[in-house]
Amino acid sequence: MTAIEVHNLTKRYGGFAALSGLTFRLEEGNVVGLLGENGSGKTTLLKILAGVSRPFEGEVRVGGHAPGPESKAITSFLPDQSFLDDGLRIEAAAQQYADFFADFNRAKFDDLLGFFRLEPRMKLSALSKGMREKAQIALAMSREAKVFLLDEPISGVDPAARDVILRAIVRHLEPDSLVLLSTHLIADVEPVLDRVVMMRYGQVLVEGAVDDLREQHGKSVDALFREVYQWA
Amino acid sequence: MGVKLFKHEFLRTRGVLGAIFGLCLLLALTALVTANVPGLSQLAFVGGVVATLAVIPATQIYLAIHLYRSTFGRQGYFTNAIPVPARTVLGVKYVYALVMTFAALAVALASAWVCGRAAAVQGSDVWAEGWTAVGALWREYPGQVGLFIVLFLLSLAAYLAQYYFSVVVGSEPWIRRSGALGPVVTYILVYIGLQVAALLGLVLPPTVDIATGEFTWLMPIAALERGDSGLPLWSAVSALIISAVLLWRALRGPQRRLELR
Repeated sequence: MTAIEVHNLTKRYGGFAALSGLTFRLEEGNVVGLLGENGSGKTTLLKILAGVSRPFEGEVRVGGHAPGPESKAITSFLPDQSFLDDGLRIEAAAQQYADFFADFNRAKFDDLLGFFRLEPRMKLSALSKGMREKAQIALAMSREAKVFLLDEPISGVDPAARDVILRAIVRHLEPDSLVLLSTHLIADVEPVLDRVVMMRYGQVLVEGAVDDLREQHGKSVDALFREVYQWA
Repeated sequence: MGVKLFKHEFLRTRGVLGAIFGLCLLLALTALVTANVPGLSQLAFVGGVVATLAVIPATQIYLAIHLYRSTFGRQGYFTNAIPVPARTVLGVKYVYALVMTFAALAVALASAWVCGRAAAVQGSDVWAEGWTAVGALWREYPGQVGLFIVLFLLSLAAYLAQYYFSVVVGSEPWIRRSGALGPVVTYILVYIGLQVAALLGLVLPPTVDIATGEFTWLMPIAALERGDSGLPLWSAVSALIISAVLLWRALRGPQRRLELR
């Protein structure tokens, strides 16, 4: 079943087109890497899919719905910045999630919190950047969503923490869920990816299954990325 | 979901609102406690009166800032991901802000009473005289006094609508790059527009005689030249009508245009 369908998507900021005629389709049951250099349109795309950026031109469907309340009910979005009130404790943030998202799974959250070695009583303002990222990922990944949109979930954290975060992302993933995560750190995420979408100047450069791309080009996705962006 | 939104608005704002209300009452009580202390009583009394007058606008401005931060700042990524229409989120925030505005009004009235007691200790009968005058007006013109109270309460809702419009429209892409200045610039434009509308009301009939309730279908400015003491109706209600339109536009805003930094 198609989890995300984008057809001729264009997003303009004044005279600048951040996305230009973008078209692709992603099926459920995949972990997809959204790769590209700074300014390629990755965050803009994720924000549109999450329903927090409008207007736009073209057609977008998430779980069969245009971005709005119905799509938000099945989509868990993790932006690339801290999005919770600094004064909250982790427990209070979890209560917020439980109140607003019917698919929030408390048992999953407690498990992820334990996996990250975080305490519910900790205040968000007292957490380091890495710990805060882990807390936010625990919240986002504890929803039983159909689509997970993660914007740079492992940027700005140390290599050991990156590995822990990636393992947490796939830890409780349902077989029919789609994870679309954007990153520059391709070598770190490549082991968990099923498919990749490489973007540049608001358009798709390369798209395909990771195994197929490795076989076709005879190199890792990380090496392919460096080659594509050197010559594109 | 509306109840949950309301609940979380309370949880997020109770600290600051509690501080605003508490500070107002504390300054009023200080005026009362120091009413017999030479050198301090006047200053404390002024502080109490200023706090009484400021508590309502302070509450509304704080809630407008909270609207901006929670909906269009980085916390907006959470607020706008909640699976309800944007107008529902904004509508609940507005209703909550209105309830808190009326709570601030109650605090202001309590604070005013305390300041009145402080004035009485210093030998001034201003509170008692004021109440006597209000009572006399109420007996003679109950309808007019009632109408004034209703218009006053509606004006509080109107000010809130103006702030909310300024935050929502001032956060839209056309002015988004200005950051927090966007809502400020938008509010200034709203204020100027309201003043222009009030001035136009001076040339638009009718005029209403407050004492008798009679309408005079003359331009208010002409009625004034004739010596009639009337209220220019459109000047009086234009702000309310415009504010209702501003609120409608604010509730529609994020459904159509939304950009978060």
